[in-house]
Amino acid sequence: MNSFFASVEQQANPFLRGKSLGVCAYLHRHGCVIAASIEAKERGMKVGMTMREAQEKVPNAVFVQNDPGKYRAVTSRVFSILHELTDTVEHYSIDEAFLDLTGWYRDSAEAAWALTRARRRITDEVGEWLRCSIGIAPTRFLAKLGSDIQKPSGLTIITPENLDEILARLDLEDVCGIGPRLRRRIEKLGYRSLVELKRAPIPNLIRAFVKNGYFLWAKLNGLEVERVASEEPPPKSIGHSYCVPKSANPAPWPQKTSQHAQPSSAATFFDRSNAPNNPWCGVNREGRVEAVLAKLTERAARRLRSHGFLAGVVSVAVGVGERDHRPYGFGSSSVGGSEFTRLDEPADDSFTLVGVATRLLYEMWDGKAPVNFLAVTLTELAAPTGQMRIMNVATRLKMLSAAADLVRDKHGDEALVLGRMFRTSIVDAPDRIGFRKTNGIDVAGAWKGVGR
Amino acid sequence: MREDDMLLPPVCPSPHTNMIYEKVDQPVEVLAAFRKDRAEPMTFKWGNRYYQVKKINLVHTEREGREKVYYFSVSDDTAAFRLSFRSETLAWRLEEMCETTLNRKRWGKSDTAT
Repeated sequence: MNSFFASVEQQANPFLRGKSLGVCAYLHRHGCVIAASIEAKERGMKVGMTMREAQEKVPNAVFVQNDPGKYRAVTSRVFSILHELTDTVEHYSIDEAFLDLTGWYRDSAEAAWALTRARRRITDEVGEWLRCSIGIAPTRFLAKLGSDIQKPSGLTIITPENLDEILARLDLEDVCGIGPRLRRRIEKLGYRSLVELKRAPIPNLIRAFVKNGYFLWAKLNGLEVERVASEEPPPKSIGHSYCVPKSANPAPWPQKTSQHAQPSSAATFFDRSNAPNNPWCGVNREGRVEAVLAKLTERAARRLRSHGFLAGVVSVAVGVGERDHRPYGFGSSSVGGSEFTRLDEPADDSFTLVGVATRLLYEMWDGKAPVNFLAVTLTELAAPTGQMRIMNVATRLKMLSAAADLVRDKHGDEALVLGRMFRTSIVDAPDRIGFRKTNGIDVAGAWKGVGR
Repeated sequence: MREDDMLLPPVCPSPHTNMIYEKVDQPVEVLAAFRKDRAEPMTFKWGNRYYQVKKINLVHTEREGREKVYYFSVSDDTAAFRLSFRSETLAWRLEEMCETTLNRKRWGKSDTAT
């Protein structure tokens, strides 16, 4: 999908269409633009810019806070359409999928016809503002390369016959997996273009890049080295992080003078005075750092239990101090660190994991300095051994966590929370979208026939 | 307070654009059509005014426990709205709206938008 998050926002709100739009993780001047509309990209806005940089580049841009539920729902419906084309669909990311069409269509032309029809269905059934690019090729790598060549709404077919011609038009960094650093290393070997790299002797590449050198050569020569995987591999780690917003004092955002003349109109979202549900209250100022970490850990623990795993290691990272917000890539004066603990016995209950995470937090933080970043990661995941245990405290905590999950499944995530999470609200560490994460995308349960 | 310290509202228009976003979160009365394969809000009453839905732009769902919440992103000629419908309580709410300031004068009048 092209400019996915921004296109979905423009689909939902027609008054954003045709405008330069940036979707941000946090609507803060130092918040990061995670997606830019096609119009914004044409004017120079890039993903990864801070909101301030984007505003300087595109003064008339509009910025929207991301809405993960909306994107997941659209992805579900798009993927549902793709699943009707073949039985092997890899959900590569929130807005990308690989389809293995082998055996389903006779040639590239027939596949192109089917995919173009699917694209038409996406426009008709999901949203007319959504754009997607299609790449058809003998391998996964070349298909992705093809889909990136022509945006928006492109269709590129790569065959062994036109491969050299297409590679000759591209830069080294245009292919997935080659960034500025690898480019420098490739150029040091004397290869300045993709065609030169394609024709490079394999031993030279293996000597320089070990097995990745061979994989790079094979991918460019149209040899399949990674199959389309329709089943997601089990996670190696589960974690959540949160950039704590800097809101040093309670002075309100300039309030909008509502001219809506709604006599019973509630306080607008810009109003900071309606605490405690006020979204802009400071986590540091109100001493909710530990509570937010508990919320992150509890969320990770719940995902851990849903996968049926136990965690062997708990890691916590904390950023302490004032961020100076230097431009991207120029570092920061923020300090802090990360610590981990290996559990005596792998656990999945919230009480153990939150307790360990909190202890790790206080090993790195004095409880006073402002915190600007929190992250918790559970690693060394393993399935339970099935060994029966004598009922002890650990077993009871495990059963209690499982029971709490059942309550939340029925009444929502906020129905039952740990005491350590006291005073946190939905705006503290809210749901975030991950580009490569396809959790929560329910293809079978996709809503049908809603677009007009 | 430094400008740097401020968090911004969920939609942040630049001074050069003419859009206003508002979080509403109020119950509304809705006339909806339940068609063969979909449900569509057609008209809703917010405050003392009626708004005719001209277009349903996007529908998405989210789960809150067992309850499924349907979000309808709809628009008329001058504003975009987000309506929610809860499957357990069968309640409709107007969650948010976005209007262009070019059309703001209509809000000051007492006549209906339909």
